[in-house]
Amino acid sequence: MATAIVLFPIFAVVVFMFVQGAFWQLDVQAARAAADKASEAAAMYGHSSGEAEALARQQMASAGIEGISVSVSKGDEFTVVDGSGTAPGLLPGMSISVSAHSVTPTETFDQ
Amino acid sequence: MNSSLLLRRTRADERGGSDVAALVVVVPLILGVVLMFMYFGRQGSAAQGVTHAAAVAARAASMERSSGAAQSAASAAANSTLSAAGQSCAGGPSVSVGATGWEPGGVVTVTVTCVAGGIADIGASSRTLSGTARATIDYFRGYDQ
Repeated sequence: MATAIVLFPIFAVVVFMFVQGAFWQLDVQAARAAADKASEAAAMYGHSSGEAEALARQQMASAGIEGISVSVSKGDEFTVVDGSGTAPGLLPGMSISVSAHSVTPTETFDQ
Repeated sequence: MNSSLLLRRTRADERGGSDVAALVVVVPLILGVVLMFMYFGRQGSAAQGVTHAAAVAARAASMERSSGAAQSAASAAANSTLSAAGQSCAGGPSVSVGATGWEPGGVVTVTVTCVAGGIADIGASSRTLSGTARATIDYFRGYDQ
């Protein structure tokens, strides 16, 4: 009986951590995919950073991420997109922050 | 010593022993779950990086005027994308480029393969990851036949 009293809460916490971790991993992958798409779009010749930022925000929001912050930096060599937000947790007040970073070589026009 | 007191103490000792045994099972289980998450998280992130590099390489290949130039452009794009993201591949990434025909509107397919390191401390071996992407060959260029 005493073993069950000790083990049950630990087992419940392990299962909760597992499910919460799986959801967090999904949100991290969604944020990363959004950042990848945004950096690929922003790196194209003649494309603006604003459109890429809007694309990243839209994709992250559709994955359920809240409090989204996206920055797009288009340099001569590389285009870098950093995105962050909070993924809702299984229980209220247990949201976890997610972040993503993506780099794509900036396209140039050669005659 | 009273026999009933001795019996109670023996039962208490047994309970304490089983609690310790339970913790000996549960604590490694929790650590195992955490390590498993770390391992699969890292592998998932590396796989996404390889897929992204393949997409960038396919785009770079589709902008070239010949299959030879496309191979060079795809390799350079995949290498620079992976290294800029801080992702290392054992022996460097392998990039293969194929096309339906080198003409405007054709489709170029790029596959990037990367041997990503595992977590040596827990005996998790390295894993071969690959990503494939396709892009339409640029319409608005002249081409070497």
